[in-house]
Amino acid sequence: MSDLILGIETSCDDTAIALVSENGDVISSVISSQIEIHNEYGGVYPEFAAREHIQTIIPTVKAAFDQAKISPKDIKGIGVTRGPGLVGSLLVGINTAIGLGHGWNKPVIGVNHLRGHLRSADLEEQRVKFPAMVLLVSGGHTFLAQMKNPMEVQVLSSTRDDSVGECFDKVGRMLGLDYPGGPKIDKLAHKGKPTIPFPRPMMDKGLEFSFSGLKAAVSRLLAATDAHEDADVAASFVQAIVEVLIKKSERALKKHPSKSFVIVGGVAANSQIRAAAQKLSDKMGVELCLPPIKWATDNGAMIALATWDYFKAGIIKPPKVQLNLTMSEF
Amino acid sequence: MLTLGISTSFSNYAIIIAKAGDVLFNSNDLHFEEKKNITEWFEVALEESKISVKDISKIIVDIGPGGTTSVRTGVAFANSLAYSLGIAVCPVSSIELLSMTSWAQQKTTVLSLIKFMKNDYFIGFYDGKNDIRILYGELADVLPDLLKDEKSLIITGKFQQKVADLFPEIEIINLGIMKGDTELLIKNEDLFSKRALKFPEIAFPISEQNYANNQVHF
Ligand SMILES: [Zn+2]
Repeated sequence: MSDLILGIETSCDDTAIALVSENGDVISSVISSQIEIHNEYGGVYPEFAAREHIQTIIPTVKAAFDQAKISPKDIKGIGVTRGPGLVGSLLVGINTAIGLGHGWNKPVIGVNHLRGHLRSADLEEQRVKFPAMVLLVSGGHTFLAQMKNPMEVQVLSSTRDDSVGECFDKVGRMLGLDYPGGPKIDKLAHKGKPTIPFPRPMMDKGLEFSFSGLKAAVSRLLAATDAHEDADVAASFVQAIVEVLIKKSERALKKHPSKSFVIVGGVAANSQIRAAAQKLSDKMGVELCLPPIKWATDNGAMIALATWDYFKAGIIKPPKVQLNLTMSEF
Repeated sequence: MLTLGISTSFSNYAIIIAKAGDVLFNSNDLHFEEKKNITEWFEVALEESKISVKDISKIIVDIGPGGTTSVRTGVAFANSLAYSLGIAVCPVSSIELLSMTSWAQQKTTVLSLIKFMKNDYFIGFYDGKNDIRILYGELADVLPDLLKDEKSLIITGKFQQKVADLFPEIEIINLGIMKGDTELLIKNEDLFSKRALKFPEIAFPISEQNYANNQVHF
């Protein structure tokens, strides 16, 4: 038997390992999270992230095999994130993958983290119908892309400054919330009313995003006055973000007709984004694909599934770090 | 039954393969135009020495202090190779390699200094009689107690002057040792093998954090 791929993901602060079959069945997936370590710093502290990866990666690999009840000799190969991400963290994953590949005599290939995200919506069940419009919204990335098939991707836009996730974390910090700010802002926003007219940057034209102006507006407001409830600030901020994301997605869908609308990345967990995306999909007559949250955030299974694509297409990238890997690369 | 030595603390990364104490391959004997990382050196080693990975039965790895990224790379590779082969990994500090390199040249007490963060150093004290002592902190805090009985010392690394300024009465000998002799990983294999770690125990790069928590075995 050799019908599983081991996926290794260490681009940021999660050590994530999974075993995945060719059609996306997740046989096991283990994630060792560092949230508690980084909470103290209000964000990911790269040196500590790398130290933590080196402690946890081998036990996490072992746990993934134990959970799957299979032996390493039963795998086809190993896929490991080669970028984009934090250099220290990526190097731990990559060098671990190379060592395992030698010891088990299995091929090791380097995979683009972003391509992992794009494929995450097909984990466990095939949800995506092509061509698909994909909105990736995470701590590291924000972009719209159209996928003609799993390998052929056209990037339509990206952010000129902050990613949506960064914006959530920074506003979270301004409101005194723990890292990561996203889930806490989401919760707080439900208790408030969107009464503050924050700017919707670049709302009226094009597909590009920009969030630094919105972030600055929140900061200015909080510095100027205590007159607003935090819950109302959160609700108004989330509303501004959701309106921008949905408006741009609508424009992209009109310009590039698609069968499915896929939202991936950690920010896809936001309940208001999910609700607004459903409305938009109904209006546009496309199928909405929202992978379960555990696949929307960083995980090893999405890397393993992308690795299958690479193997099938014969794209064998060496496991070498490339920090600023873009979507158009493999 | 082969032993693999890995060192990434010094500017010359080393992959060494030895059989019963005889070195079959040492990456420092080869020169390439392009700088190679440690796993590329390992692949060269496999090719040049025509060995099979399966014949490696022990890994001795340098755990720093050194370049944080390079040491992490070497240790991550050593841990995963050891785990996947089901063999042990033996951690050795770069401070110990430096001190032993000096001792092999001249049998005089050695102070090895590696600067780690801001004004903090990893400080190794080796007198040939006792196990090496490794301490961490500012020189002015750590050294007075450590050097109270010393009349002359060899200092490895580039911080001789700092010690001379603090202790003008001590004679400082400079042998110009800036790097550890990585073949000592093999020459002292018997000693290092006593520290063999087998999964679930793994090797960690030395840091101020695990030093303070007593988590590294030197
Ligand atoms: Zn990600």
